[in-house]
Amino acid sequence: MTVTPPPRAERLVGWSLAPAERQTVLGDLHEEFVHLRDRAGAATARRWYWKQTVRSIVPNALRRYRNDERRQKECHQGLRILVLGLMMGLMSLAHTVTLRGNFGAGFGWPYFALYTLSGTFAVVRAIFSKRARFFAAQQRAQWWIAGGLFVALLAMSWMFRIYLWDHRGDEPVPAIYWLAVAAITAASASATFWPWWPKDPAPPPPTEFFVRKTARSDDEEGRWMTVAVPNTPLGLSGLVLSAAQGAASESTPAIGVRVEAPTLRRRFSENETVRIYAAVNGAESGASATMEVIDATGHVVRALPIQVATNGLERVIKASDADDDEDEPTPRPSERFGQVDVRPPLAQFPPGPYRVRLTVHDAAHSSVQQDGFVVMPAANQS
Amino acid sequence: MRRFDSLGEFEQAVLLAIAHLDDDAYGVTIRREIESRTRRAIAVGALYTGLDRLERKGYVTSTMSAPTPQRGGRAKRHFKITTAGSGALRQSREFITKMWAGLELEPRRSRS
Repeated sequence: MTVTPPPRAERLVGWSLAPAERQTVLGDLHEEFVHLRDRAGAATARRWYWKQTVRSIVPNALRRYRNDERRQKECHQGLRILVLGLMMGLMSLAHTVTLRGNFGAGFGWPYFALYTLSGTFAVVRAIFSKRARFFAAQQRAQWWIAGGLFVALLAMSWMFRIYLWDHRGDEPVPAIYWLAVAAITAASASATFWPWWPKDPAPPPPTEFFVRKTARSDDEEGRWMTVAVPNTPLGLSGLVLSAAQGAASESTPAIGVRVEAPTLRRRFSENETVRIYAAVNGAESGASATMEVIDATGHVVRALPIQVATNGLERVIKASDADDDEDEPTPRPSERFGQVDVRPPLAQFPPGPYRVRLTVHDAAHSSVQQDGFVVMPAANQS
Repeated sequence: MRRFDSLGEFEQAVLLAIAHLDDDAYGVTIRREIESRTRRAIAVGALYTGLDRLERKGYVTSTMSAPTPQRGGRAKRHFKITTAGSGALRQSREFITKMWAGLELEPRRSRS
């Protein structure tokens, strides 16, 4: 049984990383894990992985925060609210000590509690929430709550002041105090809730798309395969190799052709047909593709022009936190993506190692992906 | 002469490791290079924080390679030192060399 990295640790590291970094850092950890496992055993490798996880979480999270302007804005906003809450608390404390001598009598305490709670909530949400976005409706609601609370508290405290004056004959609180309280509260309420809230900031463009190919199987059940496509002009996914079933063909098949399971196997019998698949970003601009098979000496032994088809795909976006928004409509795949699917029979190649190079190009851009495979004589297939 | 942002000790180590590794500089090899030369354990998170900082300063660039089975089907991010990165390294070395010029520190004698 192959020992793989501890899944919980892997999830933990993945969670602490920005989506754009997840693939490379997890790949590095995986590579080092495999190296250690083969050299020192599975237990040592697992221990190492956990140790790296624990040591990396804080730097990863900080890096993620530093590179995410949206989180920074929201976190700063939360900190501002916390500072205002602290100011309210200090003001109430001054009120209590200098005027009443009665702890908790100052009317700034509810504001202190409100600001401290909402500030803490905002900071925690900015750091941990995937959808830490502030919507206009929420913004308006908070403004009305703050305004209403402010008016109610001011009226109550004024009535309290009159009551104390009339019924107990206490010295009235100096008017300058009320004025200062009202000014600071009004300033803090407006500064907190408007207009510094980020106005639905535009999410960063995704670094890659996950494109799903769907197909029917023989038993009429749905089958699909998902590949990552870079979000660059004419971005090309990695090559997916599989042992094809059915007839060999040198062009992209129509919709509904069965999806074979991708394989990491790179040794194929000369009797087999290898299926080479890749998804293309930006295919709507009339991209064309060329597949070249190169032998061990570097000579191109086969060059095929391939059709880039723009059907049979179902697009799924999941490249950055902001893209998890369920309210966002999913665009149609044919607007943007295409696929290259070719099944060259291996019988035409003598046994030996080969490299397959897929080039997609349009008038302005080109992208290349390559992979290797070995053609084995039929009897020696392993 | 253009002045570059000063480099910390760790940043220098990362840049020098990338320079040593040339075309094969990615997370795993950079970490191994630093560990083998300095005998200091480096956390993957700390390394990527350093690389992120260097990339922001424009001292390194990175490109993604194709996914490989050894990495669980994940891609590598290859790093290359830029001209500005080489300049910053040279500037750091000159600074230290100037500070050491004419100075010989005797190893401290231990009391017996």
